[in-house]
Amino acid sequence: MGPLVRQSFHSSVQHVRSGLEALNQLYKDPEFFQRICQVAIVIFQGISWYRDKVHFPKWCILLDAANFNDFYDVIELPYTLLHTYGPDRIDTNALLDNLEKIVIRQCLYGITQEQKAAIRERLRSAIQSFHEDLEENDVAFSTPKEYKNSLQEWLKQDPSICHLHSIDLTHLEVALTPTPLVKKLSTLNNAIANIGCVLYFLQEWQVVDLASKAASLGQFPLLSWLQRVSLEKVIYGSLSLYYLCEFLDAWRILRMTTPSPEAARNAKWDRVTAAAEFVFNFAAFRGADPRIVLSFMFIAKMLGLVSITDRFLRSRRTNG
Amino acid sequence: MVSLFSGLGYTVGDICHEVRRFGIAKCLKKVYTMPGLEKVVLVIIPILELLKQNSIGKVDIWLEVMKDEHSLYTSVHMIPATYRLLKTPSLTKTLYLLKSFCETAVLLDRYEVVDLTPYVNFSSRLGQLSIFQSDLAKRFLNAPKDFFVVLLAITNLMNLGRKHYLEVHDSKERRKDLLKAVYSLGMVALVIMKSRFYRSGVPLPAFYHCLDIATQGANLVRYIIK
Repeated sequence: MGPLVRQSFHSSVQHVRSGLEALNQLYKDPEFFQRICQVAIVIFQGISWYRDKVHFPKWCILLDAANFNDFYDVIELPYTLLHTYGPDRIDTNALLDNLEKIVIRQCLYGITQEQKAAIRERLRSAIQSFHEDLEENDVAFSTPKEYKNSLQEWLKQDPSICHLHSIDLTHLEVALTPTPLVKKLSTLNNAIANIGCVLYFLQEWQVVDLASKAASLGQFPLLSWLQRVSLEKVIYGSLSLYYLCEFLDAWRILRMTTPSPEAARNAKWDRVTAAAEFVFNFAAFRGADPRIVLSFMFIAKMLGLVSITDRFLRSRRTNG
Repeated sequence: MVSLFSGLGYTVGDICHEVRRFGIAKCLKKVYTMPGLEKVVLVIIPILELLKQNSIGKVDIWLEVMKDEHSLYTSVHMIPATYRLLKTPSLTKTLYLLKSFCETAVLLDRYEVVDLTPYVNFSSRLGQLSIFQSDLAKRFLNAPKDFFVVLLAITNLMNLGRKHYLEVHDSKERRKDLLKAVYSLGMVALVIMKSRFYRSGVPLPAFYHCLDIATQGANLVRYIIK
């Protein structure tokens, strides 16, 4: 009985620790945290409507503060716009060709075709693992020099090719794949929504008075349209377009490219979550009934939560 | 501690260099996590308090929102605190968990999720007791969170001092240690000042908010270069 109880106790502690570890990682993601709060608000509001009694009003106001995270989305904008040398943008085939040429020229001059093929294979797997590591840690570089330095460090640590430690990647060409139009449009709309959110919250907190600014700017004939624009509509409109572009991009990845199983699963999730978010934002943009908007919001945020958790659990499984 | 601060000039320059080398975009990205955002909010709050006190701009609503946001972030402190304690138990981590527990309890009471009136009644009765002719029990029971904050800061400072004298560590560790020391000392000073001003019924002075900005700023920079 004693060892059995001890074993079950240790196993339970292990499970609790593992669950807490996952929760500890997940809660750090502002998007995950915000979605949890949004889902909780919708549930409380639903119960309040159903029972015709307001439950935890103060707590709901506090949970609503999670929406202010949108104010900080703009923080990520410089990184998204400036750090273009990431695993999703690098032309891997061109990089592999250039790297192979440099390695053979610098270290392995005069080797046979079989040796060349073997070296190419090792370099391919090294680049792949390097990009997987970058993707996992969400890292991208602002210049090709930074990318090359990081790749060089990675190659030095790779046990299969570490004997090439004297390799110099200064003249390695790092080409980027052209950005699809939908991706450009989604980045643009995301930037508009992020900047719009900052202005919207500053207006809400009465720090700036956008109405009077718009009225004074509207005196100029070319800017008269500013007086008729609702900032909230602009944000919801650009978010709708952003999610529409994300949906189309996920569809493009699945139909027009040959993604890895992981990338394909991510794209499938992106397609579902982007569609749900588009429906919610478009309903809000069109000024639909608040109950309908809240229902769409619940579905979109719940799907987002499941998607984030699935990605996290998969990456955890991959890392053992 | 004196030795820890002896290379202050060198270390502050070094911290600025580290932030520049890291790049502003990368720093901002690192801040865009829940712990990072919380540290940003904690820097913004005293700045807004200072602006409000000097009647510069209309920041009242913004300040209220930031306080709500900070409360929301505080409510989930229990998760990392419990995880860290289970991973590698230590006195500092136990104190951190107790502090987080008190914060969450106070928050749930303030936002009317739980009712802590029985505790308040019990503590006010117990707080009448005198320990070694001091009102230590009363102070602890009135603000248990502050008690653990001070205890945690003192433990951190003691650990830092011991580490600095006994172990050789590199300049990066030194930078982090300096910022942690500034943060811990700042927290002790803030709690003491706050309790003094609250007891005398005087509003918190500008100096308190400046110290708060410096303390929370040190914590934010430490988080970025960590």
